[in-house]
Amino acid sequence: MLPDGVGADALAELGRRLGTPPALAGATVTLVPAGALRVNDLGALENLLIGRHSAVCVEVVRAAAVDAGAGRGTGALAAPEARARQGDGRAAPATGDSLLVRRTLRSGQRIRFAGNVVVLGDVNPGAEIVAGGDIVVMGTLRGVAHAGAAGDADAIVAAFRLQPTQIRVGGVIGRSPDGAYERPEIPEIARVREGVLVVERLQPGFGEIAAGDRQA
Amino acid sequence: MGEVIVITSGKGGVGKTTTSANLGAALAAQGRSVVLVDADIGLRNLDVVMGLENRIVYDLVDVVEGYARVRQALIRDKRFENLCLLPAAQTKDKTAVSPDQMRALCHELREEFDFVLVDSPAGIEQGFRNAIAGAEQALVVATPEVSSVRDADRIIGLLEAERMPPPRLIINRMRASMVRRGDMMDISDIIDILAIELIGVVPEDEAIVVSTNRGEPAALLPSSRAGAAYRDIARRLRGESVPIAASAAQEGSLFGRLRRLLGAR
Ligand SMILES: Nc1ncnc2c1ncn2[C@@H]1O[C@H](COP(=O)(O)OP(=O)(O)O)[C@@H](O)[C@H]1O
Ligand SMILES: [Mg+2]
Repeated sequence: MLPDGVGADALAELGRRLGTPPALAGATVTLVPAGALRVNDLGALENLLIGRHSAVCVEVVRAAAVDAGAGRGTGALAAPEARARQGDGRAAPATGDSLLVRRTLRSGQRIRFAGNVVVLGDVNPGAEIVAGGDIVVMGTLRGVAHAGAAGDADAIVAAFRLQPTQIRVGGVIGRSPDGAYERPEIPEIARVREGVLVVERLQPGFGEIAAGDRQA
Repeated sequence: MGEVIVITSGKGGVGKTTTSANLGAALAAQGRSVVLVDADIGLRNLDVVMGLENRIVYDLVDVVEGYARVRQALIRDKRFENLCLLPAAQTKDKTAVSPDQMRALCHELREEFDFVLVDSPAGIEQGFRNAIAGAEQALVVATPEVSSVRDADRIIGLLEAERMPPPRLIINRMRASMVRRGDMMDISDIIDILAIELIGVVPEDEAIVVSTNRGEPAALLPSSRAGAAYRDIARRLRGESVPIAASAAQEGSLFGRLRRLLGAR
């Protein structure tokens, strides 16, 4: 378990406890943050766990998914019922539990997670992500992404290259045009505005704006 | 000790058997000892492509069931002393063999041969599981079509889940003229999605059809372009660095990029 926010002290302490590198050669490390984990914290943790200690994979999951013994294998990173166990039927919070997937999702692979999903890789055609919160793909999204799957119309789908087969946000569905179409080579974000799915250039600070929207 | 390499694809009819036969022949011609294992039980045809059908006495299922020893079942090639085939059974189905049995068989074979090439059946079911069980490397064959690339991607995901090293890709039946017209996926489109190392590009070649029907792998025909591509792949498998022919690879990707730059799609 990690404290809310990882300070330099906590990081140094973790480094000490791990001992002489590489202490995690070949291992998959699962982080269970007690609160929100910021991107910078995650970067620092990855530098330590992967860069210094040779872990092959760092995943971030919420406690419930770990307790349920969710499989690490293909398409079963989080138990589908993880969402239901939240109980109250409310949409997942905008920040908070995130699942980090450090690989490309290939055809036939599927991830369902109650919180946000971040993919460090591509999502290929035939792969699918269903998230209670936001979906961020640090690569090309060519498959299917369903953000705000429990009905959160404020959720977003962002990708370095957004070329999805289909995107859903809450209950709104958008698909790519049939046939050949222009594919801008810039990061983009899809969100619902006035009931329709719109795709926009991904601007710096989009996350803050999105969070503001949610509070409004 | 030899290397066990499975040749697989997901989709049927993309050239796994053609690739197995031609790589086997090319490696043998380059002086390596090779055994081809036909793991497509119930639908055997590697023996036909090799022109060895009339010599089959025992098959792979006879071996794993203990009716024959491996030595008895191996068929020596007509052309090469150092090339053998372990044929599949035609009358049984794939449940006649288990992954453990295949693993044991491959381990036995790799003691004797430099290369054990396993020709996988189509699909992702037990036949595929059997074919990959004893392999430590995989070659994935795909044709430049969306459905074939999709299936190859699925297979790569399954191989990754087995903790195999990343497979290498063979693009088969490439037609430069179609790519140039923008009617076929180009190499960079395919690599963009699959993100694995390309070990060779085999052109569409009538010589494959002719040689398959004659039971004479095209890799042994000096004039065949597909045969030349297979000879190059064999050298790469042996660890040589052989550049992928500009005509096959770069043409496609350059045109693809230009096309995108010009906004033609
Ligand atoms: N490069 C090629 N050029 C022309 N025909 C090919 C080529 N590769 C394969 N073929 C043909 O495609 C068909 C299917 O090939 P095969 O190797 O049997 O596929 P698989 O084993 O994957 O089912 C065969 O008829 C074969 O002759
Ligand atoms: Mg075949």
